[in-house]
Amino acid sequence: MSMRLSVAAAVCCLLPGLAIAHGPSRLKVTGSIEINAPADKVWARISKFDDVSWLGPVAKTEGAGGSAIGATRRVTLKGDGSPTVDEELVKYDATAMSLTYKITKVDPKVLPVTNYSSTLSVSAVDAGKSKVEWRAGFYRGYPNNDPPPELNDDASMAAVTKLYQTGLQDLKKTVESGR
Amino acid sequence: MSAALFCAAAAQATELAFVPAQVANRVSVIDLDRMQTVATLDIGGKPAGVAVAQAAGRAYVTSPEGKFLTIIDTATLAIAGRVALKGGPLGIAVHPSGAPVYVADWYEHRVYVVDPVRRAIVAEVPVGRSPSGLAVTRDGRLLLSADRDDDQVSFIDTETLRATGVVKVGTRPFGVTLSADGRRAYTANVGSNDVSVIDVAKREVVGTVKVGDRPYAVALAGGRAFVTNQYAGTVTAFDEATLAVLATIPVGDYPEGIEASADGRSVYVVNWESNTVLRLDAETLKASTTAATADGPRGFGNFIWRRP
Repeated sequence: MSMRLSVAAAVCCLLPGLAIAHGPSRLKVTGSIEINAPADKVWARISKFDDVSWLGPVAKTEGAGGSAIGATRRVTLKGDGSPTVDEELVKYDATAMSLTYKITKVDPKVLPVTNYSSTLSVSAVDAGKSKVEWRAGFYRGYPNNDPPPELNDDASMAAVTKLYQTGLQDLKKTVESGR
Repeated sequence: MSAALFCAAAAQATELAFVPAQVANRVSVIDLDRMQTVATLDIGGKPAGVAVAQAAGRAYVTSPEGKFLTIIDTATLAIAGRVALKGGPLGIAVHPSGAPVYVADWYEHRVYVVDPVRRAIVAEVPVGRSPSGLAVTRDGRLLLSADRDDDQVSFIDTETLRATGVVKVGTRPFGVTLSADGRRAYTANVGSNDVSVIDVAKREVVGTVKVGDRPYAVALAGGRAFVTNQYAGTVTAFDEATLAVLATIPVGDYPEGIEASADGRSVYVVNWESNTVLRLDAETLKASTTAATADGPRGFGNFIWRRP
């Protein structure tokens, strides 16, 4: 653990001005889940950009700009040191029930990614059932060549995949229990 | 019978796109007349950059993770060979004569000069930090390198293989494209969401055009420039003479590579997230047909081969 922290810290210190430097391969993760609730009800729960309370690891969300394009939010996570993730709304389509956001600031030891963008969308399966899709594009946490194992492509893929799997389960439970 | 007809039609295609699909580790070969995949080639090493040598009938593909270059025969669609490289080979261009091939090293701030016959690096040219897109003039004398992390374009003399100067552009230029007459160059600036227009002879920026979020690369057709905007999911079209924006066209998710057909009527857009190549009509500025690709297509560079 201390090894992982020191590597991540070294990356941040060595590259103060290179927040958008990245590795050579953009990676993809897609997660989806069926929820026993109408699509508009699910969309109502996830469409407020300044409210990510449906996601288990989130302690609080502070937003600015509501759900307009360019709106920002700071998501504070539960756990040691209350780490934060800063995000910005890039696209928003209420008719298609789809929104796209990007991470503008995250510590790679919290989520080992750079240049991360993500789309969350809902579609109706039938009147009482819907499908949520969560798709991400990102580069690994280590922006230079020959990454350490904890910040390579596989580690980034694994971290985002886990987040999406558990996050979509969180959303399903939240919506189906009426919260 | 239908298979035979299909193959015959593919063989007659006037233009083929060689699109590196990085997630799938493959190159999708697309018949642009029919907008259909005619072959999918296993490449490996996370392929991303591409440069087609028209007369030589070769498509050169970089694999930055595998650190090699793959040589594809554009007539037979067979892999003709591989060249071991180093660092992080990404951006690529080829001399109009078919050789040498120029490859930018994303990490080591140099451009490799590769002899595709000897299959070896024959020279290295130091440039600015994180060289990304490369472009060569049609007379083959001048090579441009978009040095992303130095916000500049390096001018390289292909005879002496020395950088003869730089031009400062917008923030973090990625793709660089030269006009057919070699008088102008355009950089897509990832960090400042704009395009810098360079007068090549004067070596200065003569215009800046605001485009969408995260521009990636520029294509030129019929006096117009077309710019892919990754995060916006659009292409910005602007007039090359007046620099006025003509349209912002929704194209698909996370568009990256872009190139015009030889006749200038079509512009082809590679959508990384949607796994498609989309045809835009360069005159009406409307999207028309799409072709499916393997997963995660990038097509960074010149990916269209025209049958002679």
